[in-house]
Amino acid sequence: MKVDVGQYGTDILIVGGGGAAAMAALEASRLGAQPLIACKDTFLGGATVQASGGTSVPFLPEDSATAFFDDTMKSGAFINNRKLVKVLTEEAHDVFYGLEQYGILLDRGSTGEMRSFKRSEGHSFLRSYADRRQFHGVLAGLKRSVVQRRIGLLEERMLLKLFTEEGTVRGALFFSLPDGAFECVNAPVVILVTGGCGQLYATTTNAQCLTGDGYALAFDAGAELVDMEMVQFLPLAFPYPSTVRGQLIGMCSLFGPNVKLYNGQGERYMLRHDPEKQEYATRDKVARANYTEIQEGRGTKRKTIIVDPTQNDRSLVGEYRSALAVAYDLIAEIFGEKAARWEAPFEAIPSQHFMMGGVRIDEDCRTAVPNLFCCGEVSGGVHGANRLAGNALTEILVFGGRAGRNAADAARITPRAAIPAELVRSSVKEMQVCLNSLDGVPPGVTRQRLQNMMWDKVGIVRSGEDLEKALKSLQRLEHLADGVAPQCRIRQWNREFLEALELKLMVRTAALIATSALQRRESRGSHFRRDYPETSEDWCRNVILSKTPDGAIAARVSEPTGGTG
Amino acid sequence: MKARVKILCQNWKRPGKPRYRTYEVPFSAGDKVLGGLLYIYKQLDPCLSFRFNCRGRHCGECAMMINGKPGLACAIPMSRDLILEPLKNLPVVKDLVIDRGHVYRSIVERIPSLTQGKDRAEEVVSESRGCKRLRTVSAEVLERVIRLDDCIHCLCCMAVCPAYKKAPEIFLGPMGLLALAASSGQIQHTDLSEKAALCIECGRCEEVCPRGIPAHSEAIRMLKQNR
Repeated sequence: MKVDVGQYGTDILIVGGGGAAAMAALEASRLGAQPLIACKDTFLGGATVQASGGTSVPFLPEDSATAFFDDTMKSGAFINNRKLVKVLTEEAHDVFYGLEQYGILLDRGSTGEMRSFKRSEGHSFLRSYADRRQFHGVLAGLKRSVVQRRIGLLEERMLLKLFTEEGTVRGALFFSLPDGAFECVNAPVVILVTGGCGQLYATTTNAQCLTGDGYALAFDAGAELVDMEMVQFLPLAFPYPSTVRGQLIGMCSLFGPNVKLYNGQGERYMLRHDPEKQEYATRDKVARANYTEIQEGRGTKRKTIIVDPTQNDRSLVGEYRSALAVAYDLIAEIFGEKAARWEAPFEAIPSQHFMMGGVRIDEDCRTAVPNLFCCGEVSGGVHGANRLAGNALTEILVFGGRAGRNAADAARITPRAAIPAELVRSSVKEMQVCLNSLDGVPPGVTRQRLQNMMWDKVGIVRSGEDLEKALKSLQRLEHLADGVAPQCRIRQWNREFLEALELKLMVRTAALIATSALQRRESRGSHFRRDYPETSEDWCRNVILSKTPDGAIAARVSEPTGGTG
Repeated sequence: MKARVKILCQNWKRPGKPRYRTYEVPFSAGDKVLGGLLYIYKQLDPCLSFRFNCRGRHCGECAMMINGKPGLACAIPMSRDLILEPLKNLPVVKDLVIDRGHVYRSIVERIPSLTQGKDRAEEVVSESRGCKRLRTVSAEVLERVIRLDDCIHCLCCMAVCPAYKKAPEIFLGPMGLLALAASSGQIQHTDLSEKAALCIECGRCEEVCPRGIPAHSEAIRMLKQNR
């Protein structure tokens, strides 16, 4: 295959296509910069389009940024970056209300009061914005604004490499799905907003494109990663049919104030797992309980648990249903209308949902690599060991805008410099190897193996032994990833090419998670080790990963930024 | 159960002349068309191109013609006889993949901007600061925007619109008119009825909308009355 690489140039390259990308682009463009968005799916996508809309905003008069800060730290088990949490909680209100400048009409009550969900775990006040359109109303407005400002868009482009020269970012290499070509974008400033890594797991709420490419590539470019072991699992997801498996149902509080969970033997097992808070324990606890029941053979025949909303006061169902219409409608379709009316129980399984760990950033969204900015799910530190419900959307709005503004400032003083042609050529050649291989299994088969292994060994319940095994099998998988062979050789819109390229990065991101999880010899937040089931004071710290000069993973333990309070 | 799935695919020997390929796909009750497509991709034809992403009716990527009617493959159930084609009236990239981004951009670039600039941004925030309330809008406008500005840009409506088919360069189509109507009342538009004039009021856009948005009965009628 001839190496013919298309070239683009821009002030600010934004890699990713979710809400953080949109906010970064709009803010950078407002300051006069010319950003270019390159994303793997079609814009506006990512996990943001799947969001229920619940955004944490301290809107009640009796609420405050301080109370919001305290709740966020507590949920994060105090290993959050305090400086980031301070920014998040102080700016949440103004940034959220400021969304209306983009021609968005937020949902509200008749006198302009905020509409909110009736309850959400871990918040001391009602703080979760509820929109009757989920988040689609907000996103439609952001998408329109980006297009109407003529911000450049390269869609269905997968990030393959971040180019650095003398330690500074210079641009990036992409694979273009529509035409099967490689493209190079020269940019003196890059914002990485590639989102999470749910596709590393066999069961996830995350969309197909969320394979965690950004973690491996930022690490490769010299950025540090923080607390990569902190992967969030939610208690309730759909078990079937196959295409819906793993899709978000949510948590118990969305099914009334008196919902009960039962295992296959009819036991209300939450009484055993958390006698005090029972079904309304934090999401990580309920997810772990559900996983344990199924794993230890106490699930139903279909390896599920039973959610029973029938003991609720049924006059409340309308209100709950309208706040979560999509999930309730799916429940009606899959389990019958009675289940959606709280007149019958339904089945569920736990599912991977969110990544708290990620690229280490400061409050200006700077990484360890000069001019490489990062925010959103691919960044780490805001949520500590466990994310509060609603804080992910607040994060992308607050830090997306900040990344855009700081990147615009950086772009103003950084001259453009072309990436050396030889570097581009050698990178492309390296990538082409896995596309041209004629002998091997299809990439999708190895992807499935990786997903199953991660779910079993680096999932909801972990142990030192399992993590060692995981790292060993990741070495094998890395080898297998190099040897996959796409069966289809057509260049245009070839999903196998994409999967082959993704697989190489997925294996590397998986190794970062497993390495970090092996380091943390305690249980905290979402990270549970059955060989170290207790939370340890000594571990109120961050696990930081960085790349050694010979490309290996170096781990160190560090005090959380801003202290532990 | 087994389904016979006929898919309109690219013909690489005769470009521009797509042809139907038939696949036999096992399925069980409750399975969606997307499940069938994934089976074909994994087991029968790795070259088949189709988009999907969220699997949960949020992203709009898996919209296609399913037995002649546009719909989301993640939402429509499998059946014994299926014909799948790319969305009609829109430029095809390959097989079931259409040029979604281009269509969206070419339409929305022609709609007056709702973005209100820096001054407005500060006003919005300062109004809300302290009293912690959003600016007051009339119930009529609020309820209308909530009903209309809920679009996931799957383009199903564009695939059934006879007016858009005839004049894609001039007519905004249901998706564009919807965006326009959703913003009406928030800012002033001058030529609303003119923009909607080519609509023949068949109402098909509304029938096929996976989010049940009243694109015709509310949005377009309103524009035609220049409100």
